[in-house]
Amino acid sequence: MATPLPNFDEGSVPLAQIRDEARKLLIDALDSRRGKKVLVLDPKISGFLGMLAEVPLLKEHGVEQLLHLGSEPFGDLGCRSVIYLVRSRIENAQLIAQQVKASNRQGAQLEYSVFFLPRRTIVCEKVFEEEGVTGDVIIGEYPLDFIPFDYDVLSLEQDTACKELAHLGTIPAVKGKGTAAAAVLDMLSRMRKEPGADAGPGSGAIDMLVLLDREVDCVTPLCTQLTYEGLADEVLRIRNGCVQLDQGGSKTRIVLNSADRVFRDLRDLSFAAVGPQLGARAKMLQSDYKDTKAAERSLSELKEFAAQLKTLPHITRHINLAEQISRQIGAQNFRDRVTVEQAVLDGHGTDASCEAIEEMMYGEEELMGVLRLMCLISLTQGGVPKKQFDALRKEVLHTYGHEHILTLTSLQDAGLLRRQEGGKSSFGALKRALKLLVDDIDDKNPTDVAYTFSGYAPISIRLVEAAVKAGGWGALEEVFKLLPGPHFDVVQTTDENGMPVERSTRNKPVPGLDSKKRLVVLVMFIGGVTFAEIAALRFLSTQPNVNCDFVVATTKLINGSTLLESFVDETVQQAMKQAKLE
Amino acid sequence: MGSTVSPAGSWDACGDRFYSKHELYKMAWTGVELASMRVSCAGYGGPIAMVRDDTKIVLVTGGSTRPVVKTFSCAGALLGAFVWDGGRIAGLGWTLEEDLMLLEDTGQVFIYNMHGQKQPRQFSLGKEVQQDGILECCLWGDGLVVLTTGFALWAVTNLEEPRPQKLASPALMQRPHCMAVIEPRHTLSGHVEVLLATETSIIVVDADAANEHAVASSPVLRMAVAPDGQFVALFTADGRLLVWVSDLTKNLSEFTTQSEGPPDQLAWCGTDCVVMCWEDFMLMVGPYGDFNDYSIDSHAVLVPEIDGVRIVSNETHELLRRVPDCLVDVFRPGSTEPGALLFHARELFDAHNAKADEVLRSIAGSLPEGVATCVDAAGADFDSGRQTALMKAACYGVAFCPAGSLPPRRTLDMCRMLRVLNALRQPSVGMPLTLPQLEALTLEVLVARLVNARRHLLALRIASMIGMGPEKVLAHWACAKISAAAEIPDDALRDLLAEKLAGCSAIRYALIAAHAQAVGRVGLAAMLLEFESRAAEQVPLLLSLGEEERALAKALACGDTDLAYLVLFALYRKRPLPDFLATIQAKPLARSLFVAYCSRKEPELLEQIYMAMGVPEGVAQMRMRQAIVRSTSASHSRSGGRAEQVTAVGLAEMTKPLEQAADLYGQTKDHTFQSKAAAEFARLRRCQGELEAETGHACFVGLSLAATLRQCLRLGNQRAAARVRNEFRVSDKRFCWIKMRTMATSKDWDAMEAFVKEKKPSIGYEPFIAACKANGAPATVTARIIARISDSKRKAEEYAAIGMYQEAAETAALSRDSELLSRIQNMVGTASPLGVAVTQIKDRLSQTTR
Repeated sequence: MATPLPNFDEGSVPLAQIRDEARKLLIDALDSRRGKKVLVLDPKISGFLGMLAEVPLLKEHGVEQLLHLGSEPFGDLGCRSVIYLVRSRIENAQLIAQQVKASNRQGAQLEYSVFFLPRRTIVCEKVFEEEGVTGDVIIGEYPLDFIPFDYDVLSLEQDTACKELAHLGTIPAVKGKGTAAAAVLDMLSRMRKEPGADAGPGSGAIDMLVLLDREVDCVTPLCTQLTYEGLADEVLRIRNGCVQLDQGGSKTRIVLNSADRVFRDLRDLSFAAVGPQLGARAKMLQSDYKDTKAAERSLSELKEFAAQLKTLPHITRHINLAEQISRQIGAQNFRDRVTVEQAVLDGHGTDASCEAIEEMMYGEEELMGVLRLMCLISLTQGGVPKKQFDALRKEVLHTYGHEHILTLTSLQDAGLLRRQEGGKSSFGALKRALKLLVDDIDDKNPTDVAYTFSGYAPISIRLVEAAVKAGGWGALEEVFKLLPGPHFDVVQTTDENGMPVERSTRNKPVPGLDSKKRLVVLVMFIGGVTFAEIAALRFLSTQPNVNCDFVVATTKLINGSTLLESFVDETVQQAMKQAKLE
Repeated sequence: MGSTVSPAGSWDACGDRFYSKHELYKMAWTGVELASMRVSCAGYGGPIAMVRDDTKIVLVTGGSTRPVVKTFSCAGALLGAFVWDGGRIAGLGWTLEEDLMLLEDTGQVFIYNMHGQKQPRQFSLGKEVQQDGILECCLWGDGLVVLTTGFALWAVTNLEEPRPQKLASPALMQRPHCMAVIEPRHTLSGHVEVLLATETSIIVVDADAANEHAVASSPVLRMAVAPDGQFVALFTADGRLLVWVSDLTKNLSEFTTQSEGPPDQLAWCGTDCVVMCWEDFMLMVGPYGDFNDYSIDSHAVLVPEIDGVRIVSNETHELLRRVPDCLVDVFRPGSTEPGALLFHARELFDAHNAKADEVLRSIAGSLPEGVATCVDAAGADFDSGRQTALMKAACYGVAFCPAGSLPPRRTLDMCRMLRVLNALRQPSVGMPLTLPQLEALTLEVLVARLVNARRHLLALRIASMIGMGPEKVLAHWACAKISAAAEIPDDALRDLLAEKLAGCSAIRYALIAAHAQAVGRVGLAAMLLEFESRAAEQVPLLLSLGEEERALAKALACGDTDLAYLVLFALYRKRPLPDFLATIQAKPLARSLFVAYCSRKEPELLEQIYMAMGVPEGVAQMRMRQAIVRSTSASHSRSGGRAEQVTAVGLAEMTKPLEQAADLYGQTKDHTFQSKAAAEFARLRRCQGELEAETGHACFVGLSLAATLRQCLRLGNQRAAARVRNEFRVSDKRFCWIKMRTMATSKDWDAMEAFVKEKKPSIGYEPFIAACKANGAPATVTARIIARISDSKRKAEEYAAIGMYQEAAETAALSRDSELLSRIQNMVGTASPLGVAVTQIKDRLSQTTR
């Protein structure tokens, strides 16, 4: 099945260009070797590659076989050319070197090209050199950075590199918070000084850039997202814009992006509002159908009706999906988890929460769910209370295996999990200052972004909200002291010599906010963003006092579980995979 | 030059077309005897290289016998010369950058610039070529192909990254008559194709295959591929000239000469004519079998261009080309084309003849066409006088053209191009480009070529004319200046350079500094590097200047990890380990980058680093990983085939690193928990080993503690479970859960009921009920457990939850919970029999409470 791709042309910034360019680069890479070839992919890439090029296109350019990267020698491939497309990571280079050596030992007469994504690096070349395969492989690069996921979402699908922001032209206003955000600003300003850079103010399509380091707001991803798309990700895991749905034993793949009009309308709603919406749509179709039969309608009306009928399969699909989700969130353990979460955010009954977490472990619920709550307690209460800290950690080891000594240690190293050492947590103050908890959320007609987490407004979104409203970040000085990392608020412009400079605009309102034209604001989440946060931004742009559209860029689309999984050591992941097999 | 005489007199008709042979230059060189030379001329009016041809006998008149390679401009001005002291030269050729490639018989390729200076890059075609030697070779702008004496073909198709590639075997039995190459950019596949003429056929060879094509009854002795790669001209032993489509699928034309022997040279003139050259005679054959012959005075070298062919001889340099249509339109005798009439009108106008107006009126409707023709003709003409006359005619026409009928800036652009072309054609510059050639070459490339030819001022002016930044030209100038100014002291030279470069912010000072370093002016390099603002540019150079610390600091500051790695590897190679560690110790980013590299590549080194830095937990982590990997691979091998118990050795392999990890974690105060946990982990694995030995079931090692207990219970081994439980001090509550889950997952409902009956479980009944529901217990079992709940409200809720509404309602009635009753009513619907029953209960309740 071909994946319906979202229409990239309808957003505020034409992302189709980026996709087409990426596709062209891919084809160039494939055509660099003549004849039939085998394409070997880093599994991390194969997912989103599907968003750029379909299998027939690859076939057209001579790809006979698609393989995943491994170190075993190739058997009989039926052709001489092997093209690797991998991220430029040390372990990938090593695997390739091993595979090339093993294949050569077996006397395979193959020609190897390696395309590193997004660029060839000295480290990888060094690995080839040390393994003695430099002469056997042709090294190239596939400079793909941003992958357009939807008409307003770009992702780097990796951990670092924000270089490509520069491609979007000079952005007049830049705000940001957090260590990585500051590093990106630094990089941007350096790149503007490079030759060929377009240094003039306002040369791009984007009026303002807000850079947020995930370290500023780790609380949000740990909470359960309660929008439709967010929940689909929480319970079914959206991978590369698709979910696998298990229906009566057969697996179906559902593509989730704005190409599906129904999904486009529903994705950002609170899940509580999705069921009624779907029902209403189905009913409307039904009644229309009856009307059409009753009275002979004009052709144009019939045409309109037929067009609506086309959405019927979408509606059925979403009814299935929503059913699956609602079954899972109706389960006791899901409800318990959300209850604990709410209690923790409220700041009440930490002891009871710890007890509940312990009980979850007894019931052997998913480790990531447990760790999410532990980290959430730690972040909001200034650490896990002393007496429960060791008990909880011990229970994690006893239930899920002692391998997780490494997991716990790396969470501690990252500051996500720690022991309460007295002193008050800053979260309480933050809660008040940013009005993070909102009562009386009407799920069906929300008036605040807090609907996305059922009463909790993400810190990240509150910061963006302040940035685009009159007054800017000036009022937040006190709040910023409570959050980690430096913050900045600058205008990128040129000095009298035409050299690029940054000027601080602290406490001054954003230029153009009051203008008639809607501004385009690029929000870059360094370290990942959740679907619920994207939903919150889309919601925000519909609010009457917000005069802008958002484009979201990120290093990775995440949820709390995938965020924490990145802290699990690779060897432990292997062990977990093995345990699952047994 | 400066005549306005019609050029038509020097045209030669060939069929319905005209050809002209135009003298570009009288050669400035003296005493050059091309006949005894091996000559290579770069395309697009590039330089000429020559060296004595060692296959021809010449009289040695004293001096060195070592051959001298000389390079000249198109006008014959000497650019450079050097003595060649290598082996036999197999081939000469020019790269796209106008560097000279010298192919030695051993397959070694040396690169010189046009001034005869050796360039650092050079490469070899590999052992096989070296051993066999070269029989034939073809060189082009971006690659070369050689045929070895062993009849193997080797190709390099990218001089930037020369990688010799062996092509498919042509399976030759004897030396081919001739060889030609279709460049990769002209082939369908994008890869090089080689044509080899054998006695009976032509073999087309690429990387994968060699295909034979029979094209002529007699052997092909000369071959030439057209400049666009579409056609190939073949000269056969029986004196015929054949033109084929280059994939040899179609013969386009045939022309019979009466020649006894093959021509010395065969070349294309543009893409529609072929020129053959014998000792004193040159024959040009057009596409429809028309021909022209020319006599020549001395040996000539043919240089094909996209729109003609250049003829280099001892005395002159000529261009033979088809006369462009625009020139024909204007100057053909008796032409009544708008262009010709417009040109005539201007002549009359300049002569103050009133007929000018009449002529102009006669072409009124096609005036824009006439203007366009005159402008194009000016671009096509070599004579500056006629260029002026044609442009004047065009301007005269423009004045009478309706607005919008002409492309804007057309005349202005052409004037600019003509200035460029005329400047290039000056004998002092010696680049005889035509307009089509310049357009194909592009102005950007032209600027680069001028820079390489050290025509900096001209390059700078052209660059500014086309709005190109001056930085590349200036940087190259600065490098050339440094090379040429060995006697100027460092600071004076720096000031001199800085003054010229000041206005340009995009200058890459690092490149200039690198050049200064390369020519041995290290002091100047350091000074110039001060001007560089980009860290990425500074770092590599700082490294080579030996300033590693500064390089590391810069690399880290700019946040480019790749750059940081570059410095780190250099440092690691250069310094003794303790020094190296001391250097990176203070820089956390450097440290973590190097650690990331080592953890993949050099674990032993990493351990050393961790210990040296006082980070025992780092080593502990490595031990943990080791143990986990072993444990995973052990269970992996077991899950595959027969279940075998883990041997004592295998077990020790897992536990030993864990114990070490426990020790190492114990060395720091912050890792007490980890230390204890690692020790516990080791104990668990050992305990699991014992269990396997005892029970004879190979199903313990690798499990978590909870799973181990469950496994014991599943095997019915209560004793073992109790022992494990004691050893790891598992709480009552936790153990109760494990028991319960074991019974539930193995659906042992009798046991579960018995367990519940024995005494009230410490964890309450709810988890049991939940487990029953989750694992599909019979409703009766669940109901019996629910019945044990003492709190009747909870009990009623649980009943309702499993659909036992009657019981739920009754229980609710007992606790007088009318709210719950209403809910139950909603669940079953008031109309159903159950609903009615519930209503009755509810009524009863409300009566009693009243």
